[in-house]
Amino acid sequence: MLSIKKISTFAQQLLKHSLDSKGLVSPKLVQVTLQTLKLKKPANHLAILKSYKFQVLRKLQETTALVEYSGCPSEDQISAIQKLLSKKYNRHIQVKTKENPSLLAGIRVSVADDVYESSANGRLGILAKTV
Amino acid sequence: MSDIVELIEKEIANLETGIQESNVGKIIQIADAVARVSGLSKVMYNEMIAFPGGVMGIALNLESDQVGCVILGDTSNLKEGDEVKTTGKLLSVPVGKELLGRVVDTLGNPIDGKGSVGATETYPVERIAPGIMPRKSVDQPLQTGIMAIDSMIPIGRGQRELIIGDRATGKTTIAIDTIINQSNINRIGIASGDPNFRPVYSIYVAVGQKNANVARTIKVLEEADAMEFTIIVSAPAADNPANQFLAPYSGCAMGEWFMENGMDALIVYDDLSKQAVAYRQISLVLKRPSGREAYPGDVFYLHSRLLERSARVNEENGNGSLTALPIIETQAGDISAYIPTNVISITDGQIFLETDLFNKGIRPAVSVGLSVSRVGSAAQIKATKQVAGKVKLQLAQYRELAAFAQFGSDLDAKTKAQLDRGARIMEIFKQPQFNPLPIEVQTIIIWAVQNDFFDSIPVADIVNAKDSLRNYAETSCQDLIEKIRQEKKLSDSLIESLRESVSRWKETFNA
Repeated sequence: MLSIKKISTFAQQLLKHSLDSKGLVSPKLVQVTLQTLKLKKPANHLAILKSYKFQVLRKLQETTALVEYSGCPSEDQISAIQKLLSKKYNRHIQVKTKENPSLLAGIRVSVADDVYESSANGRLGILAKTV
Repeated sequence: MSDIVELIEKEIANLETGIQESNVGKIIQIADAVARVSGLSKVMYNEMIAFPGGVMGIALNLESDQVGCVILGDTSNLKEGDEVKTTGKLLSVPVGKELLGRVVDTLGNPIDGKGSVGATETYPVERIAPGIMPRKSVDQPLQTGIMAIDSMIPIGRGQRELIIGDRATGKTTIAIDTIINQSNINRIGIASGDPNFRPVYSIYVAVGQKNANVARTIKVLEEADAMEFTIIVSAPAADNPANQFLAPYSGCAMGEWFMENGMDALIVYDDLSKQAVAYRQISLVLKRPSGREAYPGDVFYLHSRLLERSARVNEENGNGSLTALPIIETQAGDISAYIPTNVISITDGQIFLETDLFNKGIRPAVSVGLSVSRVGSAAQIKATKQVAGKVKLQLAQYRELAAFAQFGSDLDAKTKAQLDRGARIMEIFKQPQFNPLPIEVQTIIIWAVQNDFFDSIPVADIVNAKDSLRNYAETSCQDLIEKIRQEKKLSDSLIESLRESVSRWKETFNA
């Protein structure tokens, strides 16, 4: 029976083997890792898989910026956001876009737990709190 | 209508147009005022967390994949999946003299229906206790107005004196009497115009109490005109455990403001056993490892970090003080249980109240043998030291002799005299609740006992005689009281006039 800490450490090592040269999660490498785990089932297989899933998801969130918009931003704007975030976090950040009419105007960028809000909806929320 | 529009326009004009940056997370589980939140990767320990609907929480457990938060408000509208945000702030409460006379909750919000508190300053609830260098030894008395305590277990300003005993033995009464006595002393001191007079402000923290008991305490303090100098922080039994756990720290922050601004304050934690229970509840829900009696491993630190914040600071740091009277409820008189021993070891002494004494009618039911003040006579005025120096020893001898005297009837004159004196002292120390005695009157009464004025009075009449002497002193010996107050010691001339006055009283009492 492995301890939670050991399971977490093992899952972190698996994650390291699943990253490409840019430090992004590679679907191909993830598949290889999963196949290897299937062939050589370690103790606490299920717990390790769950921990691995959590680590992969977190890594994906950390390397992906979700740009929500109301009023589509241009290619240049998206590219500028990607450069800015990659520089800020000192790692390669992929950008995904999603339309969100509830923002009313402006954009909202989320990178893992960090949220950068520059939308009309966000400002109205602040106004509602202060009035 | 136009005012509202104007207000909104002003807010719009003041609104920041830049990007709002925040660190967010999502509630994954919520139960018993404790939420487990995923995300919040930048959260700090003890940081305030903003939950939807203006509800605040505190991050207590920082784990690799989730954060455990205690919630300080209504949790009924919170649900799984709700977004929460870090605030970058520590939990703070309003502090200052504006709080005097008010009843507030753990967060310093008024609950007495008297409107906003109006305090301009705030202090963080969790603060580091004063270090070694800013401290000064305790040498100024903080009189409780209770004869048994002021004469045998004196409390000094900046001391931590534990009040411990079973349920319904008069623990809260001692604390309330002390608060009332401070307000009486403050009123006399302020009226005297003495520039060196230092009032003592009181903070009463009710943790896990019944609302009816808190209401009764407020009523007693109001009737005694003590609310003017008192703040009440209430986290009643109906409040969530997070508020009960934090209330003592909030009250302490309010007391620290007085100490750091060169004033003296007294804080009563009523009671820390219930705070420990609330903390145990939170810790168990947070899945922290439990130890003895299911308390978490850091339950000692829970109380030590709170009580260490009570101190007397030196002149360079304002010369203020914060005196703490923590209360602990024991089960069947067991002072060797986990929480009582912890708090006994932290404090500078304890006043132990015994159920047997209480039931025998000896009230306050102070157990002289088990009660101690480690500050000792340094926290007494010289007059009290002069008259009460031997009282504790006399009572100890009395108890020992009384035990032996049960087995034999032939006693020598000396033993009989010791027994008689002891029985009279026991009667003298009986005192009704919410009726503190000024230290000058206490001095007169104990002096009279020690100088044989009570020896001819039957033991059954001692309480009446004491009340009679008190009335006589307060009505006919104002000069004498004033002299003791000013000189703080019994000089030969003062003893002479004391003898004259008490002799005159004795004549009237006998008559």
